Amino acid sequence: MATNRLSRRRLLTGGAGLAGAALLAACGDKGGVAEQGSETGNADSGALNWWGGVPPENGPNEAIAAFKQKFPKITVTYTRFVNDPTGNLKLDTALQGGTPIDLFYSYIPGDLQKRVTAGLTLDLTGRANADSELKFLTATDPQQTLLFDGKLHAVPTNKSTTFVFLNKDMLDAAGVTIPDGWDADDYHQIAKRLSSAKVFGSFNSPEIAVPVLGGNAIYKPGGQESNFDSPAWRRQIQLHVDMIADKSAFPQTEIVARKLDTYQQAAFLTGQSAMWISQPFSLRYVNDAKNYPHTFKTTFAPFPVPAKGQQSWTPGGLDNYLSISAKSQNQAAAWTFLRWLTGEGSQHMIAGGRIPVIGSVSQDVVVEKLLGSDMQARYDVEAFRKVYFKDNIKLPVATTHAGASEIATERTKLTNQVLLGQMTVDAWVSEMKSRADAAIKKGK
Amino acid sequence: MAAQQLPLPVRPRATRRTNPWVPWAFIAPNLLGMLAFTLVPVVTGLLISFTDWNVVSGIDGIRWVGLANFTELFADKQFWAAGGRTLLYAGVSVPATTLLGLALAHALNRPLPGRGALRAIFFIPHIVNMIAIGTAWLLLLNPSSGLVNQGLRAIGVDEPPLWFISQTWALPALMLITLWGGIGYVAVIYLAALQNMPRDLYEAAMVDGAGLWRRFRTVTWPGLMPTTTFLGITAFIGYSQGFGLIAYLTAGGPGDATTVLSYYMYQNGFQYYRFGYAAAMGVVSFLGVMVLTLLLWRYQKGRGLYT
Repeated sequence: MATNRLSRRRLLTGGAGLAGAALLAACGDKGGVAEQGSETGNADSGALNWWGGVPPENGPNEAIAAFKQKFPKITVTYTRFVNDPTGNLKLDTALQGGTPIDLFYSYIPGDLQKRVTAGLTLDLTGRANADSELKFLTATDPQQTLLFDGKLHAVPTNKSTTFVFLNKDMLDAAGVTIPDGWDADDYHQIAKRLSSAKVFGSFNSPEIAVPVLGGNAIYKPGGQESNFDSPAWRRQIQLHVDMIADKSAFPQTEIVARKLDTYQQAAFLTGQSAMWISQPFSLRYVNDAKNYPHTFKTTFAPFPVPAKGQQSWTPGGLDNYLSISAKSQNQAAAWTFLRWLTGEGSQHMIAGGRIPVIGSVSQDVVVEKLLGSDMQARYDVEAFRKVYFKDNIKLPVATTHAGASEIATERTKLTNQVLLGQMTVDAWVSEMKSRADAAIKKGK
Repeated sequence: MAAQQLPLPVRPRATRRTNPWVPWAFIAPNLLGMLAFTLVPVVTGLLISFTDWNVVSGIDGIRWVGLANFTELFADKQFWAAGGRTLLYAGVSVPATTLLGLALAHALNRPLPGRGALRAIFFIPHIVNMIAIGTAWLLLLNPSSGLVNQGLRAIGVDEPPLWFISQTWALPALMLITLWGGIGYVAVIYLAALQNMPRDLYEAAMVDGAGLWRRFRTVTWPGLMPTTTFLGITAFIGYSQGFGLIAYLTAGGPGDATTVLSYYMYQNGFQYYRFGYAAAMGVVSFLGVMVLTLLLWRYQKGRGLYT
């Protein structure tokens, strides 16, 4: 008699068939990819979906409201993804799966590279070239931002630069004046002078490698091999180790145990460190009197150069890359929004720490948005203006990204070990070099 | 006298014919869930392990690489080191949790004041959110301000462990938390088993002059073997996949000290977007766990338990 029972074997075969069918079905769906460079939709109307990592209340909501005033026929909806590996994967699968996304951010060059290579981004070169204010983004000499085969696939929406936050009260009490053109050794010496039983002179230590080697500091020229055997990297690590050893920098044991890498502001704003090397986004913590109440004034100094008189890059650059999806059905309207957001609309993102890339917003507005209404009580405003709007800041551009994510993970791990005293600087150099070389090989 | 007439045997009622689809209707929700969220991902994962795929490139970007991921895996020192750490973590945590849980169950099986409350207290860590547990232990094991090290200093330990920031102590610290979170659950399961143990076996053993230890060895331990097998196998499978606490507390560090297989897999898949390689790792680790589980199964099978 014929039986019609569901055996385990049948069940497994059926499951495998189902999985295969799912894969084949997915293979067959091209999702209606728009041809690169073509323009879809109308420039003055449409419904846009904008995905970013900034909480909506830190700028996007305000920007959308202001945009609506100017372009009432374009509706913008903001979706936040958390800018971590899981959040980026969510964005990538949404882009691949056909979720209607018109504009999206990439925060790490490596992420942008993957999306460009996969054909998820619209080529914006022609539009930027036709725009007098954005034309500089397509320049290759000197290169200002990320280009892929000479093409612009994302417009940077933030100009980050690095400078030193200083506790003015501690500085005055110690009678310390920051010398013009100070270098990394000056920084170390001043950190020592500012240190006491309860205060570490600095939270962190100055970078050396990027200032000396530029945006591709982790690669040797050609990008086929890592550059961690460069003296600049050794000096950077040795300086931090030395500063922790003489107690002029915050101990790594505390940083790891209290997860202060993520909450660096806590050490500076509670008076546990006198100096802190950071970027403009950190100003929002200084403004946050509720969560970080403090009575001292914050003053500022330029990022210390590796050696006096040496031309160097200041860590930072043009980032927060905003792309238009190649699958967008509203590319023209998306460009209208993107262009507005990089221009006059950029002021709405400043409070969240996103600094305009082009000079469409006056310095006064930038200062007011960054330092808040109570700026005179909290800051040495003149010092801020002098440091922040300093001329001739040379910002690095990373153009090579093979194995970048893996190298970053390994660097965090090994640097923790060396700063915790569980590894020598020599071992850091050789281990970092070999792990990064392996990552580059795998990442090609 | 007429012989007593025995009642006629009652003919069993004919089984009512039921619609053959009714049982299917009952199991369908679970079966569909299992197919969609277990079987399809397992089979898809197996297929992906033979490819090079970064998700971003979409389905079109899947490249068949045959056994290349497996070849690379077997030459990957970090993979083997992570495998060793996984075995150490599960190999210590499983017996430690089981034995301490058993001891606790014995203690809670005796009459003592507030027994019900104590049982609940020991079970609570099992149902508390893992991040809350992690945060509490992060504070307790802070090298300078944590209560544990303050206590150790108070009793004369000059250089107490650095716990999560020490390469030597980070994995033991995770084991300690696993133990703390797991023994309550183990104890409750053992408690139920202990309460079902036949009293006459103990009485017979006592009549034969068996002491406490002999009664435990010859009556309790064999009687608990099905429970021990169940707990051992499920705990081993669970601990060999340990991820959440590690991701939250140490992110695999310091160095690679707590990078176990599941975390290394996560790094390759979700941080480096090497989904083919991560899937290959998943396949190998699945096979490893399956082999060890089968060994445990065979070990208990000869003892007349689950057969």
